[in-house]
Amino acid sequence: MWRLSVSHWSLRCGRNTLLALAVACDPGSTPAPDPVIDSDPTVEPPGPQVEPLSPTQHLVRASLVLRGLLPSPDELRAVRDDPTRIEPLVDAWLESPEFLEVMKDLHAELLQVRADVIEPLPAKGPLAGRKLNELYEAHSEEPLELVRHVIANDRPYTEVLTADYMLTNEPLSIMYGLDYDPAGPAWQVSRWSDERPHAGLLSSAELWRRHESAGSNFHRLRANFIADTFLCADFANRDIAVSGEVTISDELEVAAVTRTDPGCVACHQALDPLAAFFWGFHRRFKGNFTARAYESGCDTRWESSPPTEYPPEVYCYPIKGWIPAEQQDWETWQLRPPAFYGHPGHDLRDLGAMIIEDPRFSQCIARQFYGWFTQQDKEEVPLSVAIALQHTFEDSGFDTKALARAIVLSESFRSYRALVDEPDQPVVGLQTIRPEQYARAVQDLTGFAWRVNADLPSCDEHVDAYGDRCWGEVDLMRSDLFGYRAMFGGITGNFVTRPTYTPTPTKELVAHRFAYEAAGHVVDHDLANPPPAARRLLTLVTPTTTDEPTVRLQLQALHLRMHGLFVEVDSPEVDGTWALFSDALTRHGDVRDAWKLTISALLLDPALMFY
Amino acid sequence: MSWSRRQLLTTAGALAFAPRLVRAARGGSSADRKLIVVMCDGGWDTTFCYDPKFSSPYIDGPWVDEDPNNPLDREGVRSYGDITITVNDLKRPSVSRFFERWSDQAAVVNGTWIGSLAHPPCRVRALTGSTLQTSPSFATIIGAELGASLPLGSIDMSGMAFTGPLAATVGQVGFQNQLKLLVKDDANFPPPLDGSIAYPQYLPTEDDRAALFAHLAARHEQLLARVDDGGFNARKLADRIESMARAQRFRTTGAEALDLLTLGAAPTLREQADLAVELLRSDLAATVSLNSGVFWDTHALNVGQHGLWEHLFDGLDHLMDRLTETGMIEHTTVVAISEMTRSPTLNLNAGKDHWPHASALLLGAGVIGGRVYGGTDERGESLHVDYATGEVDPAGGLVRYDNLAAGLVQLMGVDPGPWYREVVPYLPFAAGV
Repeated sequence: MWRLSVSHWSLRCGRNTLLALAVACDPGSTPAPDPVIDSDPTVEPPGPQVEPLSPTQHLVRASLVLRGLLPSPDELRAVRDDPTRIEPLVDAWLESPEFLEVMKDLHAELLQVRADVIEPLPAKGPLAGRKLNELYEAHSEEPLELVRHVIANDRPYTEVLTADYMLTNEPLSIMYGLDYDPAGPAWQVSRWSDERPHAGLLSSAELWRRHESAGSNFHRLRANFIADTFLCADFANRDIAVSGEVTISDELEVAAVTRTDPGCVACHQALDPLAAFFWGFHRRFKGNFTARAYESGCDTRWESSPPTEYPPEVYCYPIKGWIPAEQQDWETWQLRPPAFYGHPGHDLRDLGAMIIEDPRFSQCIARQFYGWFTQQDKEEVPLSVAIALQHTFEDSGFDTKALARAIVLSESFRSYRALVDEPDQPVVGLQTIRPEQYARAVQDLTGFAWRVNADLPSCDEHVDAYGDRCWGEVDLMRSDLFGYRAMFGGITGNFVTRPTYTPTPTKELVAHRFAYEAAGHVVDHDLANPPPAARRLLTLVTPTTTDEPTVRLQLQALHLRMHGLFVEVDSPEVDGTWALFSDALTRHGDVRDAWKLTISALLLDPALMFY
Repeated sequence: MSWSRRQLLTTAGALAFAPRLVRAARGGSSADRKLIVVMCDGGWDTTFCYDPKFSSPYIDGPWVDEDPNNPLDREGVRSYGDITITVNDLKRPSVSRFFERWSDQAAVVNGTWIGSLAHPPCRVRALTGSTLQTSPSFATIIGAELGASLPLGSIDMSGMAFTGPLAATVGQVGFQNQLKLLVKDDANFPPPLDGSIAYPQYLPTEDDRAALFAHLAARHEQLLARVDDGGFNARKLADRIESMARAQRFRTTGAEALDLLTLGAAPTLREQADLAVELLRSDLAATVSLNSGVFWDTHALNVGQHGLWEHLFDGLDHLMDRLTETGMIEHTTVVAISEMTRSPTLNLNAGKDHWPHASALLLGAGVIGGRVYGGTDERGESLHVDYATGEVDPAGGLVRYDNLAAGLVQLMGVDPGPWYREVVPYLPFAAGV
């Protein structure tokens, strides 16, 4: 029987005795067996519980998850001939720039900061004339670039909550008055220029612009967001009862009740001290605050319009996103002082340090990564899997790549169906391609990105208090305001905060139109007789090729390139695509039209839409 | 639910003959009941309308904004049948007008306990009747059941659809009506700034599309043969087939309705109402979810609620007119809902914060109108009610978000049992139950 090493397990409990940990560190709760966990070598392991993917299909899944790209034919052949080659390929992919983009995608979902349907900071003052998409990408990517930097430089993942620096690009440096070297890289290390303590994402301007705290909430929403995201300890999913005798619009009364009412204390004694760390940040900071501050000339107080907490000069560029004088305002409201589940702290640096020391952090990150990689909620990740990955993560020194590697090489990740009727059996069935994956894969295959000019004809004429509404160029698969990210199953970052892995009619409409455009693009390109090396998909045919043997050879190559499938020229797969091609050729009498329909079909094929 | 290869093939067969099915749908496989949901996101202040509290010393209602120098600016209480609401004919004339015209078809449901104070969990509770984002909304459940034979079960224009496992039945319009660009072949995307792409680069003919769908259906069969597990994998493939079939049917039958939408602008409530009626009338879906088009979260300057209520009832009045003109009112129910209401008293910014007691307005088919169901006390807290009558009754029970969601599902003739286990549906407002 498979089991955990008792000594290993006890050691982990002992290291964090002061910190709260319910299930994961309870020696009495033996997790279910999982092959990833260290095993007793003297005991015979059970027979297979899941049916694995073929090595090459495992490679396809790993490649799409780690890079958003399909493996190349050479990589597929290497693994077909020697399945052990998958590990060095995974290691190489973990060092690729595409992996860093995927890590940003993952964290964009965790942090919900890519939300173009929320008004961006405006093109005003020193940013007048800039396109809104440039400004939106500057501030929304700020926390994600920090994550990228940590992972790209092989820093411990814990640094995302402890870094004493931040990342900025040129427009962001203007927004917040940050040091920026125009001769340096587009995104470069800098520091917040106000007096905020530096603690990685905890000090992010954009994270707390996105997750605002209104009324008498007093930063509790932010505290809960951190607890849920990094400790998997959500306060908000519990029903709460508020007595009508509580004057909820009276901040002092609410603060008192949360300390004294038995129905409130249970949560608030942990939540409020977490929230106290965030005093100093604006409670709310919407894009139109800056616009309206410019409207008032940035030098007078607003007379009648909300919000009135800060003078307008705070909101004009460079924005003052941190108000040092408010850092201790929890005292003013008679709230609990900053603490982390009973451990007092002073500022965000203490909070970051205590979060990463809590074993719930490493297990939660393991859950978040495994859940994102396998398309399930973090709460649904089997405990055995979470604990095994937690150990891997901790033992590696919080190496993000080691965690990702462990996931994609695990038995459950390379499974596609269970062989036993065991509800807790970790199995990863058909995965649904995400909008980011599909966009990247299609661009890699066809060279097509769904770029449009999002400026309405009169966008620069309708200048209101906000400024103009010219967004410039937008990628429709990365936008919800103009495009189709959420309509393809992704999230909007505000109302839609969980992806949809079930196919939907809207997703099909998006996918079909995208596939048609991409197919038209690549066929026109490849059949325009570019140099052979410049061809993307149609490498074996010309605009006049119609003979069946050559077309079948081309189709065979396309199934390999676009689906990672090795098929024979007379296989059912090639029979099907040949039938589609030849039928279209007969009807249209045009090779290009026949290929455009066939490439569309291959882009919409279930072998690409699911993996 | 277990999915078999046979079920998949049956659905795939339907896909292959999609054009014929589209014609059949137009010929009369209409859903008997239709639903329109109007989501008022942000939290409305019900003291401005549904829940007058003039006698309460604990509540700051709209009267705190009255202009003492303007005799026309007066808040009052007016009864329409058995519905008593707060009115101000100067600031919110559309509210009075609406109830004058439609009160006999209107049911006000007050005092639903929502169980949270933050927007996201309250939205989830109000729309799904659960605490899980992965649960489908009551509109999605109703649409999936009533719209099984239609191109779509439900259509979301609110931007906050909760679809859960029923996602294959749901369509979305997009924040600026961008669905139109996918459905109408003559609506093209603007080229990128460098002019390197001219859209469309390829559009298949209808014959091409039919051939493509038949090919993809066959490919799903091939893949299923490889990965069939009688459950997760099979269901996912079947959902894709269903989604493709529904998408194709919507594209061929829904394009005309989308002419009502303007690209590049968020639709107003009136525009959404026009489209919703057209979508339902054309049997393109069984339910449509709208957004009120304004944000109700008045933490500062609660005086802004006057305009929000005026906007809402102007839109609802238009919606009821359209439903009546088209005869759709006979089998269409409208639910206007917000995820919470606002705190009893003003805060330091003259705004109001969150309050976990909700109200809903029900209109149209199947609703016993002219009445208020449930209530709140003088501090705005939900009161216990008799579940059978909806009368306030201390011996009765509290109406929770799940009770109301289950009741709305049952109101529409759909069994709430599979989705709301051990939840008592609350539906004293249902005619004929």
